[in-house]
Amino acid sequence: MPKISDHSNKKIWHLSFTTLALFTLTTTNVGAKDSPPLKHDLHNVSLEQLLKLEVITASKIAHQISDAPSAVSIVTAADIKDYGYRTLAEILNSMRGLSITNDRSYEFLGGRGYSSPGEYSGRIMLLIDGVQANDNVFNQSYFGNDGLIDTELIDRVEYVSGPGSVSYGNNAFFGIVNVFTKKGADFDGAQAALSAGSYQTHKARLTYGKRLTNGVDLLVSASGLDSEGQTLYFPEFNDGNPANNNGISRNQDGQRNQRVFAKIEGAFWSIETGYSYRHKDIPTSPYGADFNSPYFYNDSSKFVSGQYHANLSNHLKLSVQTDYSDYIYKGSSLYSGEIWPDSAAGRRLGTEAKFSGDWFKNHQLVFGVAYRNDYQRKQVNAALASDQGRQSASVYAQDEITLHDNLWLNVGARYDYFTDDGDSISPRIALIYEPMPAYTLRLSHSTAHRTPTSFEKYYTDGLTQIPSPSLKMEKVTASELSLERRWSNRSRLLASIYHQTTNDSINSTPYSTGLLQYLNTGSTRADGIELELEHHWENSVRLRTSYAYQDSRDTNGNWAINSPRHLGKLNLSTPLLSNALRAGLEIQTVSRRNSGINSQISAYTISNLTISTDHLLPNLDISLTARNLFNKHYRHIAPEYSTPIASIEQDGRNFWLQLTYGFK
Amino acid sequence: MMPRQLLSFLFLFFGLSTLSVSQEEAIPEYAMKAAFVYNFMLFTDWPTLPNNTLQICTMESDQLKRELEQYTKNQPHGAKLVITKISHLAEIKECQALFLSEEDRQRIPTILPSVEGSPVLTVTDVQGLVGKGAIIGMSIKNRHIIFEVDSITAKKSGLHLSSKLLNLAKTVY
Repeated sequence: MPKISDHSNKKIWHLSFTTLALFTLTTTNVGAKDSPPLKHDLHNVSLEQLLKLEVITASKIAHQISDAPSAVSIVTAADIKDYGYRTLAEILNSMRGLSITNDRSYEFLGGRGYSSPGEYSGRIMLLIDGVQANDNVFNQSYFGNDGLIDTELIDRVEYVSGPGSVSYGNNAFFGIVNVFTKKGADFDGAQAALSAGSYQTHKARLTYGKRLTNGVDLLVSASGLDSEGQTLYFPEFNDGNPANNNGISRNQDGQRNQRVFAKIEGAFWSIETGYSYRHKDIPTSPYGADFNSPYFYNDSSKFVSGQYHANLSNHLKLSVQTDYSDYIYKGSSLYSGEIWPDSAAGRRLGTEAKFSGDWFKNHQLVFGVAYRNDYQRKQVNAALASDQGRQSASVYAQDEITLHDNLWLNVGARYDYFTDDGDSISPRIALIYEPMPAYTLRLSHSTAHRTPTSFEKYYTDGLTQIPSPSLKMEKVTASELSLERRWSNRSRLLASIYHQTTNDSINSTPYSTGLLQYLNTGSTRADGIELELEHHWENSVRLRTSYAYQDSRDTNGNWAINSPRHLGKLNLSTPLLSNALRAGLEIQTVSRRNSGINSQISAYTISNLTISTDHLLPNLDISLTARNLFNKHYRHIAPEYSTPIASIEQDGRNFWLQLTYGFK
Repeated sequence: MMPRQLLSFLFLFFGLSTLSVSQEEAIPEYAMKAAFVYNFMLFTDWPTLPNNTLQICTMESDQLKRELEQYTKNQPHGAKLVITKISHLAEIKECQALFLSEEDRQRIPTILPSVEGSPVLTVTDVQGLVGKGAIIGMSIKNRHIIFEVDSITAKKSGLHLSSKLLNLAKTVY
């Protein structure tokens, strides 16, 4: 185990101390501050008159939609606006226990101790309105400009921590990110947005949303982004070789994307479709490609889904969802001046019928069947032409049993069968107890599985990576105890402690061995504590802050790569100048991470500030965001396949200005 | 090392929160909802009011309870108005009206069946409960409160809702 230096130790103590101090400060405030009753005299106002009066909606802490037995963190549309979030990665970076590692190709999501840089298959599932958004070749979720959804279309993001295979089957390994999109009525007309930012970045978006008189809700949106990116310096390539341009990668960081999204929704049905395409130039020349030479990844995803809900009887409800999605990847790089094309394509169809029944007193039953056909999982390059389709079938059931008026038992299991990887049972048992009003205690024990991806099992380039056809699925078992305390709907405190063990953990061999191969390498474990506090003041100041401690060990019991022990987040949004403006301040702290044998990468704290207008002008909203406000130099660990580059400098201070105009 | 950012945060935090001014005149949500709940009492007839008391019960929503307490000097139907926060299901039968909020979500599936058929007026601002056991549901639309009523469940519970209330409701089942 790497030795912790005194200096860093001190720093960590300071961080923990400040987080704790903040908790105490805010909690004391919270408990005591029950505002005096308001003096609006409505005593003798008739019901007719009341219906005509305008009301100010109180700012409330959102309640989770996802999974009752799990600890859930929520980011709402108001947060997205107030903190100027442009990507899902930025949203997730602000959430309890989550961290993003960026290698200037993709954003990789880490959580629950797991955060392997460059591991395409993250272990947290992404769902957009109930549709799995990860591709079926790499199993990758796209959180940056390569993602499917513009953040302005997001109503809320819920992060459900812990294994979720009991409900979602394969891939819901360490957690689930549930993205819920807005309704057309939220826009009520057309909206145009123009943005400009550092690194010659421009974005335009046009959205139209409306609830029609017959109750049907319609939302259509399209956007495009273009960014020149930066000229970057990689000291590892400043090696005297003239081909390496003194380590300077010029004009190799640009990107552009296009997105389209449409949704039409009635009372009992909805149809939704999304498309995204992103071209990204890669400055880091991974897999030993020529440095400072053309290298790009093009990723495009699309999906169509239909949902139908019906009340089959007074006690039985049915939801049916059918979806199609595809993913196309094209990459190109140069090796000794010769072009190396690489491509992948995945297509799938899935359908699921989910029932919920309340025939029996004190029992809420949920059960269903799902079928999925991954009929294409293709990878092609000069050394490989593989297309390994597969099918899977699943059946699941859950019962929430009311044992007492403040005690619930939730038991469930899901069985998944795969035509190529065998089968798996994922059970969960959870106890929910409200010892006194406003306190919720949750105790759960669950397992989840992840089958190897097509990339892990079959990919080879004939040079740096070889296939691993006998790779098995990995499994995780987790126990978690969480306590949630709410004060009215203005404050919420969440404390959670967990332990999890992963068996047959899938990892690639070290790059230094000369050949990459994914293997089941044994068991890994993680233990952690997470704290989260939210408070909304009556004057519409909002606070959301969290601290996570995680101790994550690899198969040898060593500190896992890229897993920070401490993660601190603080988000504060406050009105300014009589509510004409809002300021959103965000502070994120990531402690040291282990980057390999005897090497570590330093901790960092960055701050982001957004100033936005709040209906200052009738139809126009303006928002200005400064990311990395104090221009802090900080680095993320590079994927091993980026050798010799070991770490990657992240963006310095950068700005983003957005004008949003609503045609009313 | 005290992060510089933290100092800036503290500065911003205290600086800005003093700057912020409360919103201009319009009715805060819970004051308004309390006024509606009180009015619903005036348009509802119970088979009996034991001890000549009309008891409105709340569970977790302290904000609504606080606002409702403003009305305890009034005497709807000539009865004494009492606002009680309850935490056990057994206490519900003592209530003439019960307010269910988002904060009670976990318990709602248990609560609604337990009051089925008893003369308890269930009022809620949780969406989607009217027609599933709750009698009156409030929601906010275009900065105004609207409400819907399940008159069938009201009848089954032995409550009589005045036609005026039904006329003012957005939807009646």
